[in-house]
Amino acid sequence: MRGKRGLSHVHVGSLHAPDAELALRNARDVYTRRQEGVSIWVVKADDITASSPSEKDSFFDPAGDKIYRHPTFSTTCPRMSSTCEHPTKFSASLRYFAGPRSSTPHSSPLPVPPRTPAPLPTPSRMPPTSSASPTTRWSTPSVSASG
Amino acid sequence: MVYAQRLGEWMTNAPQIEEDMALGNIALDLLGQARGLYPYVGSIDGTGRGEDDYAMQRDEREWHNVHLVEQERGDFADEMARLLWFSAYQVELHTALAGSTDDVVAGVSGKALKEVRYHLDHASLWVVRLGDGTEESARRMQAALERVLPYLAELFDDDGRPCSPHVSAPACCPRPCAKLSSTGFARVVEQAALTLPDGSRWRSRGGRAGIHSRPMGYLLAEMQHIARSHPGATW
Repeated sequence: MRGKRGLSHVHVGSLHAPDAELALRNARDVYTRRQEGVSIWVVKADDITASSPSEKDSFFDPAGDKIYRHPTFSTTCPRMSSTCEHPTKFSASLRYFAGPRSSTPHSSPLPVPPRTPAPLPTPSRMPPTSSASPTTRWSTPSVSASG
Repeated sequence: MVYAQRLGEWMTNAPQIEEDMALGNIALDLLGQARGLYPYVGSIDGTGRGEDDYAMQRDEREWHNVHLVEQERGDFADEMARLLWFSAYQVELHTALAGSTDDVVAGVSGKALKEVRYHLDHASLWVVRLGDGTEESARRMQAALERVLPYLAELFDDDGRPCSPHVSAPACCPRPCAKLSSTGFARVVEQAALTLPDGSRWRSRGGRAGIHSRPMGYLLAEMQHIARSHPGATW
């Protein structure tokens, strides 16, 4: 069901119905009694593949210690400063996410000694985009040093 | 009002819980339409009666509903046939009344039109599924259509009284509605792989004049008993 001001449909419940059309009508009867929404999607339960509660730990816990994936993790450097004191720990690995500019090899040494970089995540696991452009979001000491 | 009372009897008796909710919602919609009109009628007919008086204090001869809605509950197919015809009639009625010159009538009808369109949709879906379903359901649905047939002509009866100045003329005379309803109805029945029953040997009449069939007395007794035992009570 999507509320009037909502962007996405949220799950509100389940019901039984002989077919999809009647399921839609039943959902309207059962779940919109208090004007909960303006749009309804019904999906057959068989068509849903859900994560299993017993696998909860292995599915979701590893994301808990990867705080660098959050957009607010790194702070941006002033662009003209050649030395940038900022406390990010994994700026080396951040370089891989920056825009086209960072694809050029950097000759200047990184001010922060790289630790063992975290394994490169595949693009599909990139954190949600913030409103800032990639270059500002992922600005690293190496970019400002060369620029 | 009467049909809301009858539909209310389906609570906990419907074939599935979602249908319980659906029929309950339909009953509430109809009740709301009645509540919208009762106080207004009370104010224009000079008696000053409130909605409770209209619902609970009128005797059988003062009710002007058609016989179709007071009949006892049959099986689910019966109910869907009844709902199909009644809501088809209501769609035509409210479409006409929504253009009324009277504000209250137009307002109630405008809102009611949205509700009864959904009722018609609901009943059509079920009639198609029951008719086009198993042998048992098709048999029952066809039987339901035959059982409902004698009561249909009355929906479009004129009660012969002059139209009150509050309702605009076209809506006042139900006869033209008959043709419009029947084409839609025929389409649904065809889709349900059933046959439209043709004329029956008798037809109901008199509801709009206050002459009712046997179940009406029991319906009113059940509906009004508490209110009449304790007149003026509130809780």
